[in-house]
Order: sequence, then C-alpha cells, then structure tokens
Amino acid sequence: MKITEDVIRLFAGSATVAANGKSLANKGSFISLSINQEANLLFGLCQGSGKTPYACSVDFAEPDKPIARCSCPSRQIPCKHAVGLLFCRLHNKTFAVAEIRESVVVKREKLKARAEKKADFAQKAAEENAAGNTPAPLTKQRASAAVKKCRAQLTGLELAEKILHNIVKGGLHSIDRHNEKLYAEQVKELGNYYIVGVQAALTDLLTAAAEGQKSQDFTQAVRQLSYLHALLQKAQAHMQNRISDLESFPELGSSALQAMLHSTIEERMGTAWKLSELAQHGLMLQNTKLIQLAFRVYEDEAKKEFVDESVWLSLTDRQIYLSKNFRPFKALKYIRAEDSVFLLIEPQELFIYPGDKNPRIRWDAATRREITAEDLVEAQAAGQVDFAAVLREVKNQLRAPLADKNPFVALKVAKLGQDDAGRCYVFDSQDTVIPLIPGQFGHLLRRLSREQAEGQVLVCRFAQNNESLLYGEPVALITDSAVIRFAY
Amino acid sequence: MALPILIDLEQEITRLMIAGSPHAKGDPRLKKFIPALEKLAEKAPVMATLAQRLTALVEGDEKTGPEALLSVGTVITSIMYTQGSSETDADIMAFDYEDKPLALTRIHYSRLHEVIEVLESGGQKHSGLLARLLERGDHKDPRLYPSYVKAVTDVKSPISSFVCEKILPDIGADIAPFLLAEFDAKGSKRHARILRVLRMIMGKDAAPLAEKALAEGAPPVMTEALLTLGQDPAYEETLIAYTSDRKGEIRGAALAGLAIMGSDQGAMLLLEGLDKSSISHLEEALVLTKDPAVLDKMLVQARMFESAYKMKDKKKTPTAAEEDPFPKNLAKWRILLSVIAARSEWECLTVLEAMLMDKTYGDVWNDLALRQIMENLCEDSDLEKRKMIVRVCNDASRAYYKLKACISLYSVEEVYDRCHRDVNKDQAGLIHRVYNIDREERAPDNQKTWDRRWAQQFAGTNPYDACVLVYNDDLSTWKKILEAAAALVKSMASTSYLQASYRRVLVEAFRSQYPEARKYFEKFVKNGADRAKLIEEISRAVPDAQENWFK
Repeated sequence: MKITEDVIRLFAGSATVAANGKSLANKGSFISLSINQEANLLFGLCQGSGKTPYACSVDFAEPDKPIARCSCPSRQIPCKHAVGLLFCRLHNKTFAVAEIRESVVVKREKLKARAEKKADFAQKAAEENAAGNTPAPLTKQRASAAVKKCRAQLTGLELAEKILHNIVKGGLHSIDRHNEKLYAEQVKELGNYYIVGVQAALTDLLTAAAEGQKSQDFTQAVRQLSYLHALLQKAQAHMQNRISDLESFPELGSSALQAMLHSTIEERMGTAWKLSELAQHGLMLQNTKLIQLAFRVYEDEAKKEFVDESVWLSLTDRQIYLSKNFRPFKALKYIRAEDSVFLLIEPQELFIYPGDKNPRIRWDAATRREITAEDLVEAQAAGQVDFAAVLREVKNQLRAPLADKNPFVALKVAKLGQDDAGRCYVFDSQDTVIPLIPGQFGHLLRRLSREQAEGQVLVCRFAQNNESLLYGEPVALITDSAVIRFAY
Repeated sequence: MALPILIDLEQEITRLMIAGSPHAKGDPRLKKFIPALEKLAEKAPVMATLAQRLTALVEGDEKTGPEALLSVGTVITSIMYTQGSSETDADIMAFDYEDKPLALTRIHYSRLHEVIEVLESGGQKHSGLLARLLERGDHKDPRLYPSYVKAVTDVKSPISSFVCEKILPDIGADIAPFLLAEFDAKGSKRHARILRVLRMIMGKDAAPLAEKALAEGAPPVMTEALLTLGQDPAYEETLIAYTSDRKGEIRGAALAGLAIMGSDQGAMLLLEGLDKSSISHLEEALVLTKDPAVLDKMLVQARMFESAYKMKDKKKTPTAAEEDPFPKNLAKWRILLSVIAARSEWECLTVLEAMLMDKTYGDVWNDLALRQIMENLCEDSDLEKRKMIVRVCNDASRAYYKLKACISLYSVEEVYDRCHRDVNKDQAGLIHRVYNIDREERAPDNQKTWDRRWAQQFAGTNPYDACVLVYNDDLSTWKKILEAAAALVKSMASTSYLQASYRRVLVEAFRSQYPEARKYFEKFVKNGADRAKLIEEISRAVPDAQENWFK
C-alpha cells in the first residue's frame, strides 16, 4: 500500500495522534526500524519516557485495513508510536529487513482464522441470495413475532401522539424547566417501544422549546411540531400496513415493503438497517468511485452523539450521497472520528439506505488513490444543465413533510452573476438563475477566476428561507483540475 | 413570494402553538381567514383543505383542538414550501472574476477546525499551533481569512499579536479586502489594530485610508493613522499640525510619525519635548527617531538621573511643606530607560549595563520597571543585549534572566557551568520555568534539553522536582533522589497530600526502570507510605509491574 500523509491521517483518526506521531518521527525517537520480507509489516522500537522502548508495529496483511500494535500503555488505538512508524516510512527512513516477532505471528494467525470464518459466512449468505435473491424466509413464527413488534411500535406511537397533543394543548410557552422534566420522563418511556427516532424527535422538540423560552423565538420548535405530527401520522399508517401485510401470511402484501425501500420512514422511526438487509433488497452498488465534496461534524443533543457527515459524489451513478458516522458521547473513546478525505475512495460494495434525493451510504472495505483529471471529467458529468427542472425537483422534495429540506444538487455553471448588494447568482445556458447564499467559506466564491467558474460544476445545498426565497448554498466546485471546497 | 394571507395565517398558527390549542376555539382572528381561503380554493384546491381544517379547529373542543391545530400547521407548512421561489427583483450584473485562480491548501477538517477555533476563541494555549501552521505554509489558505480578521479584532486575544505581526504580513495583499471590510474609521481599539496591520501590508497605499481615519476617527484610530502617514514625507505638514493637539497620545503619535519620516522639524520638537517632565506620550517617537541629537539628549538625561539619585540623601525625608521632586523624575527616568533598552546603539547598551551592574538601585528596581526591561532584553533578537544580561546577572535574584539569556547563547553544558552557582538549591522550579518543562510527563532522555547535573544539584533537597530533571541512566542521582524522598515520607507520614508527591517520585523510578526501585518501594512502605496506594499507582504507570514486581 502506498503510504501518503492523507493515508496516515485517516489511519490515525485524530489530528493530535497524527501530530504526535509525526513529532516522534521527526525527533528521531525510533531506535530501530524494521520491515518483514513480504514488506507488509512495519515494526520498530520507539523510545518513550521509560527505560524500555515500546515495540510497535503496523500490519498491512490486509492492505485496506492496517492494524496497529504497540506495547505502550496508551488506550488510544492506533497510538502515536504506530503512527510515528508510518511517518518514518513516509520520510523514507531506512527500514532493515528482519524476522517478525513470534507474538505478531500468533496474532496474524488468529486474524487469518477470523477472516476465513467471516468469508465463509459471507459466502454462505451470498449463496442463499443467489438461490432466490429474497430475504431470509419468513416463517409463521417470525411473522407473528414481527406483528407483535409492530403492535408494540403502534402503542408507542399512540403514546407519543398523546405527549404531542398535551404539549400542543399547553402551548410551547408552558414548557418551563419543571414541565420539560415531566415530559422528558414520559419521552423516556418510549424507549420500550422500538421507536428511538420518534423518541429523539420529541427530545429535540423539548430542547427547541426550552431554547425558545430563553430566546423568545419558537420558530424551530414550531417546525419540529409540524415534523413530529407528520412523522407520527405516516408512521402509524406504515405500521398498520405492515401489520396487515404480515397478518396475511403466507400470502405477503408488498405495500409496507415498498414504503420501507423508497422512503426514510423506517429510519426516521429509528430502525437500524443491517447491511445484509440492504444487499438483499438490491440497495447495493459494486465497484463504485466516490469523491468527497464536504465534511462536517455536528452534535445531536437529542441522541447524545456526535455525527461526522460527509457529502459524496459517486462517479458511477453520478448521484450525491451522504455518509454519517455516529459517535455516542458514551463511546467516544472507542469510535474513531472521521476526517475530511481528499482521495478518491473505491468501495468494493456500497450500501445505500432508503431515502430521498441524497440517500445515506455506507461501506466496509475500500481502496484509496489520488484523484486524476479523468476522475474530475467523470465527476463533472453529474452537473445538471436545466436549472428549471432542478428547481421543480427541489420544490417537490421540500413540500413533503418528512423530506430532507436541504437537498444537494450539482449544477453545470454557464456563468456567475452578482447584484448591487453583493449577492451572487448562478446561471444555466437558458439564463435560468438561482441565487447563492454563502455558507461558512462562501466568501471563496468571490475569489474565483473565470476559468474556475464558467463551464464547471457547482454543488449546492438547497434551502428555503423565511422570505420563501429558494436558494443554493455553495458546497464545492468541481473544476477540470481540482475540487474546491466551500465547506470543510 | 408567498401569498400575504398565508403568511398571516402561519403567524396566527405559530402564535397558537406557543399559547396552546384551547385558545383557537371561536377565535375571530382565525375565522376571518376562512372566507378568503374558500375563495382562493376556486383556483387552488389545497386551499379548500386548509379552510376545512381551519373550520374544524375553530369549531373544535379541547379534545380535538391539538390534532386540529397540528393538522392546519402541517398543511400550511407544505403550502409555504410550494410558494418558494428563486426569482429576484435585483438587477444582476456580470460577475467580477479574479485574475488569479483561487488556490486552497489540503488541510484536513480536524486541523483546520482546530485552527479556526483557536483563532476565534482567543485561547492562550495554542500559539504553537499557529506557529506550526506558518512553518508549513498552510497559513495562506483563504478559508482562514475571516478567522484571522476575528483574531485581529479581538483585542483581548493573546494570539492576536502573532497573527498581526507574523501571519498577516506574510499573506500580504490578499487579506487586505477582508480587513478593509471590517475596518471602521470611527471605530475603537479594534479598528486601530486593523489599520496597523493594513499599514504593514499596504505601506504607503494605506495613506488615503489613514487620512479618512484622521478626519473621522476616535483617538486610537487617529494614533495609528498618524503613524501610517509617517511613511510618506508628503504628510509632514499634517503631522506637524497634530503635534499641538490637546491629547497627549495624538501628539505622541504625530511625533512618532515624524520620526519614521526622519523629519528635522520632528526631531526639534522631540528635543523640546525631552525638556519637559512628562514624556510618556513620546516613548514610541523616541524609540523610532534616528536623530543623533535626540539620542544624545536622552543619554545625558539618563545619566543625570543616575547622578541625582546617587547624590540624593536617602535618609532625609521631605517635610510636608517641601515637595519631593523624585517621584515625577522616576516616571521620566523609567521611560528613558525603557527607550534606551529598546534601541540598538552601543551607547545605549553601555548606559544600561553600567546601571544594571550597580546594585545600589534596589529601592527603585520596581519603580523603574527594570525587571520588565531585563525580561525584554533576554528575548531581544540582538545577541549583544543577551550577552550583556549574562554579564550583569551574577546572583540568585537574577538567575532567571541569566539562565534565559545563556540558553539562547550557549551549549547545554556551558549553560550549567555558567549558571549553577547562581541557582540556589531550593530553586529547582526556576529550571522548569526556563526550560519550559512539563512536570506531569517526564521527557525521554533524548529529548531532555538541559544538563544532567541540574538533577544532582537538587536531588538532596527537592526530590520531587529533581525526578523530573534526572536522566534515566543517571543511577547515582536516582539513588540520592529516592533516599531524600524516603526520608521525607518518614517525616511526613501523616500528611497525605505530601505523601502523594513523594509516591510520584517512586512511580517515576519504576517507570524509568531504575534497578533498585523495588528496594526503595520497601523503604517507602517501612517509612509509612501506603502500600496499596503505591502498588496501585505503580501498576497504573507500568502495566507489567504486577507481574514483574508484586506477584
């Protein structure tokens, strides 16, 4: 595997670990640097604060999933010593060819055995799929268990509706500290009904109402009320459909299944899709190529977690996708934070969650390489030339109560414009115009040269403001030579 | 743009959601919308749905009210989204493209976000982060520009000066539009800082801006404007006019501007100013002037103050009727010394050295801010000034300055040879300060930047600090440290918080694999240390301790 600074940063998972590792490599803290004959294991001794140096290694037995090992007491994996080892390799320091330590050999064997077991399991699943390409057969017992679960969910939804009605009856202004606590206790009970998404949405409402009390601006809370109302209605209808589908066993209806596969209803209720389920329903692409357009980290207070969100452009189907890495506060130590990626990602299997215009994606194994000029040409093909059609499509999505209100669209830029107030506009070749309102690094838009803008592809995040202005927030510009990010 | 009736209805619904659904029953403000919506329904059927739901809300009871209100809210939200439009009445012109293409660096989110947080929060700890950014050349990423401007305008930010003096001048003209957008000629100190940076970046080109600031601005901005105009001799008359301003800071800035310009008339005015007892406003001008006559006069006055001070009968205290002239003179003398220390001429160095050598100034040490002057000299880029500090510091009270100057001038061993006699045995903290040593984490031997003999010096008296300084392979010093720590454990067996400090010494001995650590463990326990706590702490620091030593 080619080791680049980007690869190391991705491997380190944290800027601090990467910086500390680099510093160790620069200071010459490594007493010995070795590599095995197959050139897939880097190992060495790094001088720490103690007398005995730490024995660290990075194992590339599986090139896409390097494994770090170290004798230091740090709980951070990978530790700075393992990362430092990679920096030594990057800086072309001399690695002597040497035999692998016995302990590493044992660990490698265990890993191999585990991988073989996993491969067997995957093969079995693939064979089962190939036989009928249908979900695992539904038995009478399974159907009845599923009905039981759906009924529990329906009960939960009714309970959630009661809470919502009580809130509306009392009015948002009544959610003071005391009432917020009472409602929060009721919301906590919803945890028993497999509807964590609804539970989180109600928590969001309480948070927004409490914020509204402080700022005397209830806009967000009112929006959340409408969202919850729509969610509960759709979820109840969906559950009724599912129950009637399941109760008709062995003759299965498909209306609920269609809703599950073509909308976000299940995910919004809190269902966690398994990758195997997505594959079974054909929501999977093979050998795709992805370019990251934007990255951000935000805090979801209701779910008590950080979310690392990336916006990706698939060069295979020219769709814009989102990926999310959830890091619950309680498990921050154990889940690696993601970072922005400037390389092209090639997942072997790309799983696509049901959703709107920009569905969520996930993958397990992927290779990385530098983005080439050919890749950028492919990426530019995603740019839509007819802005009138784009606007129609966006408006259609926005009016659906449960749809994502900020869809991403790639636009082929004919030219840019500006008005007296300094606002920018993007035009298509038919002179249809879309106003642009800059986001965090939107000021960069004003610094583009003509060659960088005209004829290139601008990816925007659409939104509608309180004055009903439908606008695009520039996210990235795909030019012939680079991807210019207007976000992180 | 949405229909006005929908906007009004949405506001009413929002009001009800805040106040509570029971208020909707029979509400005339809601009723009035129904006929209008029914009329609109002839063209848009969705309005009929809205009218029906609104009727249900107005006519509903306490039980059906919440659902009816939510239902109206959902419909109106959907309709409002269909009313969105990208059309604009604005007059759209051709885009003003840049000639130079935009170039971004490849900084990852984690690093960029951290830098932006530091710049916008004004944190104290992370100036190293910005220094590394500058080293790598990543500071020129335009995504950082707005954050730099925030850092510049935050007058309380400790990293602000780093950004102003190092980063922004290196970026140059590219950052100017961002600074100009934030600049307000009528503004306060924040805007004065912006003008200062613009002066560094734009040079003479900042003169029109300075002229405007001078005409409109508040005193801090005017001060910077005068300094900016000092770069162009064409403004000599303007600056001279301001030397008679009623505000001292403006007069001082005008003189400083004239000093930058090298104006003879400015030098004359400075000479006149030096005759007065209060010269605080002249400080910057006196540092900047290149006029030899002004320099001579400053030196003569400084020497006169020295003589006057020495001749003063210290025992005689002035009576109430007599005025003691010295307090005022001290202020002037302090400013003169500060100016002399900031200048680089050898005559200045001679005056300063003679004064610092002389130990008779003890009672005016603080009044003359000599401590600050020495601190500044230690960090001055002029080697001669640092050498002078080494010459004048020769006792424990000045050991800190001598160490700081020596570290920048000599090898690790030579620093110890020159300074160890000046450092008392209870001053181990001084070594930590000057070498910026983290007491919480002992550095590996190859990263220790101090002489190993320092640990020996403090081993017997201060084992806690000495164990941070000692090299792992210095076994004899480790022995001394552990002996001293064990003795202290015995004498302070009942003082738990002190015990913790000395337990740390033993933990560090185990961590650095000192061969006799186990022996001292027993000694500590015998002297009264808590065995269980010791084992717990050692095991935490050395993962295989249980296996190797405490089976």
